[in-house]
Amino acid sequence: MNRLLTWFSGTENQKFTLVLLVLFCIFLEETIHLYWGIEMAYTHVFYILLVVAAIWYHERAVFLAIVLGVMHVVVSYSVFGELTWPPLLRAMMFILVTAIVAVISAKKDEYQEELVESKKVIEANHEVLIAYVAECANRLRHPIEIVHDNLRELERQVELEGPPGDLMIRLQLQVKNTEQIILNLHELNQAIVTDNKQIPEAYREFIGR
Amino acid sequence: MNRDLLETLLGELACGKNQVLWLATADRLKQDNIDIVKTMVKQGSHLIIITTNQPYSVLKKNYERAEIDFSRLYFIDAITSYAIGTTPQGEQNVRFISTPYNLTDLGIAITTTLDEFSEKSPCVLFDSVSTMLLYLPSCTISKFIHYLSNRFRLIDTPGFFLAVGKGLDPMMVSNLTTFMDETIKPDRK
Repeated sequence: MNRLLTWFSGTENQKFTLVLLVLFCIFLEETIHLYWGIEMAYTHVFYILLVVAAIWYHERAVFLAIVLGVMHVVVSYSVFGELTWPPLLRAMMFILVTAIVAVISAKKDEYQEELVESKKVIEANHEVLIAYVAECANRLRHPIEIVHDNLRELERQVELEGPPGDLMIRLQLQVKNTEQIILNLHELNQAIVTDNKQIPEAYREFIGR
Repeated sequence: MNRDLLETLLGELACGKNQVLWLATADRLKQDNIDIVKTMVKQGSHLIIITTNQPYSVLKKNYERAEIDFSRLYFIDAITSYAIGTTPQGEQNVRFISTPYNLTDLGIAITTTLDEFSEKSPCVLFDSVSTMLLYLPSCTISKFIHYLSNRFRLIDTPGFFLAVGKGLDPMMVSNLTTFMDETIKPDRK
């Protein structure tokens, strides 16, 4: 049953389902109303068609409600030979119920789309954050570890063997490395504050300084 | 890793013209560099050493201390000029690059050196991928290593790319592993 419902409500089958329901409603109108002359109860079935159409096609379903309403009034007139209030009221209810469901459904779909968009933005921001954190680890933590290891090794060597002949070169290299780490830090800070409106202006100015 | 195992492993990798990612620990990187160079030279290979980690003069001292035959080594040094501002004069077996992040110059130097040494069937040692992270974003380094590994592969030259395993993010390790024929983690063997 569930699979049948899923199939009928599937996006690609919605038009087919509506056509089936429209044909069924016309059949009821022709047989029960026009042929047997019964005016009551069967019109409740119309609401199934109208509610489903309103959920799927929003305000466009109102046109269907108007068509069904007019058909119901015309058949009633042709059966009884006069225009009475009950079929008119029913026709108006068709239109009113369809319009209410259409508005609610349109709002719901709008919120759903907003939610999906907002989720996409959050996911994109999350990816940027992960990339930023990974790049920070790559370009800050690891280089600092390299400098630390190099200085530690130099320290051990000086302790054991005295200052090596290339001490100056090795220290110059570490100074240059630390300068580069500071540059990397500035570069990464700039990358995170540029175009990132979630960070308050004062902090963006401070981080990017 | 013991010396016999290292010799066998490096011999096999070099014979297979493989591109190898060598993921060392931080404290072993320098020693692994010396061990690889020593073993390869002992096996009769010529080595082109691309260094972005230690200056040529420091490497030279390390290799001399390890009694490595210096005539089989050629250096492409991308760090000395950048860190010290000057380069030693009169050195025969070294080519200096102005900065480690000048990948165009580095690429040209590697290509030229490989052309010069093509008859000697050299191996290439890149020391190190991790240090490059000081100067360039990880995606740029990945692209450059991809370019180099393919370049070496096309001319049947084995390449050893040293890196500190723990210092690289998993995505970068995954990328680099894809470019390589082998990934060695010596500390885990």
